Amino acid sequence: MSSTKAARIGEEVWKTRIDKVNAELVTLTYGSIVAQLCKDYEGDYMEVNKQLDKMGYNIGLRLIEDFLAKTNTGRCINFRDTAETISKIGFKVFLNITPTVTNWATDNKQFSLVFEENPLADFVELPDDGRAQNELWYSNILCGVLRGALEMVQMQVDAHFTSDVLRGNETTEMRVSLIRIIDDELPPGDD
Amino acid sequence: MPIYSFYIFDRHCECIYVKQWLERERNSLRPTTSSGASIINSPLSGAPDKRISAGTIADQSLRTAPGRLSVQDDAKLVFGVVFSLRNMVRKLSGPEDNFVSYRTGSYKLHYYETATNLKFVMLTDVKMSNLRVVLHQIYVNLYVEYVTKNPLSPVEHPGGEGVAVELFELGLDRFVQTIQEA
Amino acid sequence: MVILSILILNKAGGLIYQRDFNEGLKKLSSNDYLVLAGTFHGVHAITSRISPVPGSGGLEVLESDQFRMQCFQTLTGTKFLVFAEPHQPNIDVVCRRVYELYADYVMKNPFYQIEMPIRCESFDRHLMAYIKPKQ
Repeated sequence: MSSTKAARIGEEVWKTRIDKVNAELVTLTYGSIVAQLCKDYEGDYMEVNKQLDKMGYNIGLRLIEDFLAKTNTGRCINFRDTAETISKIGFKVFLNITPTVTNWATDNKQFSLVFEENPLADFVELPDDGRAQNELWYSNILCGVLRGALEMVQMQVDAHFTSDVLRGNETTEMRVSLIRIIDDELPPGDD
Repeated sequence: MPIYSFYIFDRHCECIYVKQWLERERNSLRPTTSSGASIINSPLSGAPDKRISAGTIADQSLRTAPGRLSVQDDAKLVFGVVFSLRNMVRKLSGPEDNFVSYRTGSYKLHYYETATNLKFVMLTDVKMSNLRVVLHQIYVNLYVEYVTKNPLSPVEHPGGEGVAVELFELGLDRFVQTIQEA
Repeated sequence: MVILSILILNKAGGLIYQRDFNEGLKKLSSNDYLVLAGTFHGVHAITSRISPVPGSGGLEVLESDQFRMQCFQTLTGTKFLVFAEPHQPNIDVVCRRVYELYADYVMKNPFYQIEMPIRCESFDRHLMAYIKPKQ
């Protein structure tokens, strides 16, 4: 699917088929989740990252069905197509943002998503305890969402943030790599 | 135009939902209304459950129709058929092609598979026209809305737990009735 | 009339004839076709078993996005699979005619061994003339 076609589908679905909710509500709800996790794990930010990823994974498993139902897209032909679909339709429909797809690896199995805006992190400042800045990935739930959603369409991927403006970096960038295509499962007893 | 039955299979080759709207021929499926859904919705959890609850009613009719299959076996056979046919179609004309339906002398089977490998199967009367759109509607308007978005309903069904969401079943019944009347 | 290909299966589900007439289906190895035939034979039997209405025959028409297959099963258990384009009418007529040609040029050939692969040149010729008359 070409980039412009994907953008058009994303825009159209966003405008007509999505119920909207107050953005502040989303930001505050997500923020309180992260804050509570940090408190519960007493500053073990690696664990918080892991939990956010797990939560995102469970969301992704279900979100993909809603995505397929609302946008009526079929299977993507290759991983590049997948990247365009994720950035122009997926993120558009659920967060009304369009991260840029860049930094393709030569084997076409890895790419980066660069986020110019991130509604989850509006008005957020990471705590000043010296560790959060280096260890916490605030929007890590998004990585889990991508992982869960793509697993349901038979792609095993790894997604992780490589930089975040909340940490003082220039950009917010997520690296997505295709580990393998998951084959169809055969019924038990078949070889 | 009668609709005989409806199945949903997940990507792990498990039957996660069965609904049969058959007449008296089907012995152990007398309780096919939503009150009997608990029996039907655990298709792979072993025959004993089903027979105990349908015991008294089933005894008589079991004798009249000895060759009838249990729901579980039926679901397994249906899955085997659609899985083989779907692979056959892909082998014959390429991975983009999709198996749509088949017809025998007495019934027609309609098939729809989502990108998440969720398979929707419906058996109807021979003269029914293509129900692919209908199965897509069931997926979009009933399954995604009432099952996927229900946080208490599991995504994976180990041991054949199955879908047991009342809103989904009611919606399905109503939807199927409108098709049958059309 | 655009027929994509024809397969003939014997009583046991073994493939005894396979021929492509028009582009449309992928080219598979002969082993692939053998496996396909065997699988189909099994599926055909099960389709009559899972019928909600008692006393059903097996699968007769199979539809996909890109082709339509009609399965004609004779009383002797031989199956003729005719693959055509999705909206091709009158495939029944084609099936009957192929059966007639089979009865003539295959069964009436004393040197043809029943249930074995068909290697009758006249059957091929007449079939080709019927399916693709201009060529």
